[in-house]
Amino acid sequence: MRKITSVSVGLLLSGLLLFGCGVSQPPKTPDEVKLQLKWMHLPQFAGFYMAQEKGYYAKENIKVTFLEGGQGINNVLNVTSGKADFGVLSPEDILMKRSQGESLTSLATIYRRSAVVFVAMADSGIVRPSDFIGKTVAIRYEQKDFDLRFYAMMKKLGLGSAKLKIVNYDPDYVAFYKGEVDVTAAYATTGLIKMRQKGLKLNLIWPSDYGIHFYSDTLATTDRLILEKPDLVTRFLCASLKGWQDAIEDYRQAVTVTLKYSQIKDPGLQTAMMEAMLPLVHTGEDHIGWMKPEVWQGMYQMLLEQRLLARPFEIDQAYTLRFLKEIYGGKGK
Amino acid sequence: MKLAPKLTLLFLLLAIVPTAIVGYLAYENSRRTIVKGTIDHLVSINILKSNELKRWVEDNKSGAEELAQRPLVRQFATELAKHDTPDPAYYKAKGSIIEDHLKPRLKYGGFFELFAMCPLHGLISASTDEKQEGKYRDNYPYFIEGKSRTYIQGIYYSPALEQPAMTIGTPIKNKQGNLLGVLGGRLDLGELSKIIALQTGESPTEDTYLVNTFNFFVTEPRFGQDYALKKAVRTEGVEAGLSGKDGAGFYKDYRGVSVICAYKWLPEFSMCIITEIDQAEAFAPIVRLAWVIAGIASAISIAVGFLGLFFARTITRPVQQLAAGAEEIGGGNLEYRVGTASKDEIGGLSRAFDQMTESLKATMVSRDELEQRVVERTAQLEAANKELEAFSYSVSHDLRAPLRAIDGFSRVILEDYTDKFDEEGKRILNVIRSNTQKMGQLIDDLLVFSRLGRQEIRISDIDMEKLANTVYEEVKITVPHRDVQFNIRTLSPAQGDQAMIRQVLINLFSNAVKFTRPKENATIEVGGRMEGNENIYYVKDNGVGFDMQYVDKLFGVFQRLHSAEEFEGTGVGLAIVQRIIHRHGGRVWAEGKVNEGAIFYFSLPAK
Repeated sequence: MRKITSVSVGLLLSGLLLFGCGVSQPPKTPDEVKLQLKWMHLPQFAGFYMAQEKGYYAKENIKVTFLEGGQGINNVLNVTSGKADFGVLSPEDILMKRSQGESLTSLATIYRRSAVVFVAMADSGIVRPSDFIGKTVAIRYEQKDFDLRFYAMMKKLGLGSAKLKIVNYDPDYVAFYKGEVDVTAAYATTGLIKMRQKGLKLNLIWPSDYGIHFYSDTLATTDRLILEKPDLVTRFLCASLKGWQDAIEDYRQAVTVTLKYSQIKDPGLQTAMMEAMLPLVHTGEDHIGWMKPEVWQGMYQMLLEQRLLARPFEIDQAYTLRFLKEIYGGKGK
Repeated sequence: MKLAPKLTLLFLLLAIVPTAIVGYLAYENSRRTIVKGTIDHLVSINILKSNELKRWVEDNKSGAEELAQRPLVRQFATELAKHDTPDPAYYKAKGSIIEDHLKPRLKYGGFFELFAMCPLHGLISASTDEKQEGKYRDNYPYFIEGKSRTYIQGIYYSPALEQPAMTIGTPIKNKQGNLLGVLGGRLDLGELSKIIALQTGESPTEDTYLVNTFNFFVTEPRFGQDYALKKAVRTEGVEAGLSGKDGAGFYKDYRGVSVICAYKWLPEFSMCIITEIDQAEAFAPIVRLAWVIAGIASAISIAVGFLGLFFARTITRPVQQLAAGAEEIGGGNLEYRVGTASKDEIGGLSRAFDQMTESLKATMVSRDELEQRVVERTAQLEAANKELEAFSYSVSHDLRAPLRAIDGFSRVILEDYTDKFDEEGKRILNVIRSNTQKMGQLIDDLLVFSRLGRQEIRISDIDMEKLANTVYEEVKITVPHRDVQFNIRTLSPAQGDQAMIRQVLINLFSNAVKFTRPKENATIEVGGRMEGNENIYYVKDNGVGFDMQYVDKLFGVFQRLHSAEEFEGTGVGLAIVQRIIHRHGGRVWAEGKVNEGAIFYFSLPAK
């Protein structure tokens, strides 16, 4: 019993390290840092806003500018070209670019569970992937998130050759509501909330329930920055994680802060988005941002199987636990 | 400050200080008792609920284990593992395991879903919730750990259920110990919440909840909604509990309300249990007690204040009366009496004071009477004196006329009838004449003496040396045949009536000359000195002197120490000297010895 107690004390202390990081920064010109967001300002990035609003970046002597993503903005290119110093990128982007020779490295995973979910009406009888056979599925989309996971899941379940009707994904779900589409992909943090606000009863099919363990948003930077300014990377990551810690610990406050940035001024919607997001960020297992090699290995394997990688490479190049370990004292929990 | 408020304050102080001390001690004592009682209560709630929690978990754990060890369950698990593709045997096994074993177990409570997982990928092959079948649990700790032992995956957020969950995983093994599958059971957290949130009494603020190592609420606190696994809490008690301690504290809880708390670390769950109660509620009896104590203290203070005022008055009133009496008597009213019936020291003082006034009054009365008598007698004496003087003057004056007639006619007889008398006749006539002349002289002296009593004194500065010399010259002429040595020393100037002082010197010098007659070397010395606030002068001779036993008679009228045959004179001279000097406010006295001379002193007041 004593042993467990002392281990737990250790966990707590390592947790405290997070809040102690970067205390003694000598006053000097702040480092200017640009963070490329994956999308427009949304609760999805609440932790970064919290870090900014609570002065965690300033404390680390960092001046952060947020660059919004969105239609027609190449997030990955902005980071690799140096236009942005850090980027909130999806792991598959990192893996694919890495295989193409770009030197992107993931520093931490904000979303330890993917927000991607497949949705069917509750009365459709569709409760698991095997029920998809012969149905109309809306997953085709500019972002590769949906079909990547979908095909990986179907393949894993031995349904790779199943007969399906694949149609374009519609963020407004018009055809789905009409019943013309049986299954649609959705983000649990956005689209699913919209559907539920309509009062619909839904069946959710999570890829993670079928062995597809994908991270979603990861915080990445270039190998060059890690090599040249490891200290800046540590400070930025530390402040960001602190912001995220605050966001999950008090999501109501995070909503208030997010409302300052976001175009969506509906607090109810924002709150629902934030609530949906919390369990994806904080799974109750590890520290915020923590990554597991086996998950990276799994993602790499799936992309490889789907022939999405230009050429194979050593997977441990795509991510590093170095900074997380430095911040959390080497432990995930 | 006056005596009355001073005494009142003193009384108040004497009453308030012990009351305050006793009140404070009573309050502190009760507070400690209540705090200790409250903490003991909270600690026992924690122990009770955590034991209940353990029992609940253990019950469910053994329930799951019992299920996994049933021979039929083992058999069906073997079937499920054997048949990869669903075939009739597979369905039969699945149906049996669900209907005959898993579902009946649900009825006993504790679980809301029981399921069997294949050992390879954690595929849910059979579940009481059909929707869960076909899912993979390969990365869930309850599957990974559950392959080798019974494992409880603490409270975590289940995305599939979209709510907090707690799941037990336990291996299904055959007799040889080979793994056939993993039995999973989702615990009904409603029961857990019931255990934790169970109210042990009437308290409106007692609040128990669990917090995990990420500082997140695990169960809903009493005053929060939807906090479980969604809100973190970083209060003192939580931090202390999560650092592995058991204890109690006072701080502000997740609402910012001051609470008393007991925290307890639950190592088997990696959580801490917190039980809090609002300080406002816990301390309500103490606050009431404080009010009661304050009320009693105020009542005592007021009562003592009034009593103090009353006692102070009873002490100060007689003192004030005494002071007023003293003032009245000091103002001259000797009739006033303080008069008090009180038997105490102040009463005694009053009575003594009255007595003193009484005596003073008596003294004052007798003094007044005396003064009055003196005034009366003085007036009588003055009148008698005046009468006497008037009498002696008129007598003297009236005697002169017949004397002059006797002398005149005697002279006429001698001159005109000288031839008719024989020698004897002539001698007798001459004796008559001589006696009348002597008598005339006596009357003159008496007149002078008598006049001196009435004559007004005109004070002026007198050069005594000059006056003494003048008088000496005059006296010397009267005794041309005598050889008298006169020594006049330095004499300080005096103040007085010039004519009268001149008379004094004439009389004294004449006496000195007269009584030195028998001496061959007559020496007369005149001198003086300042002594105190008077000038003393003396006239010293080496004449016949006198016997000191008759010194009292020297200055009396008609008093003589020698016969008229020896030394002529009327016996008025020194009486005149004394009268003049007395009227000037001075003194006269004499020293002498028979045949060795005499010294006559007189003094005059200096300026």
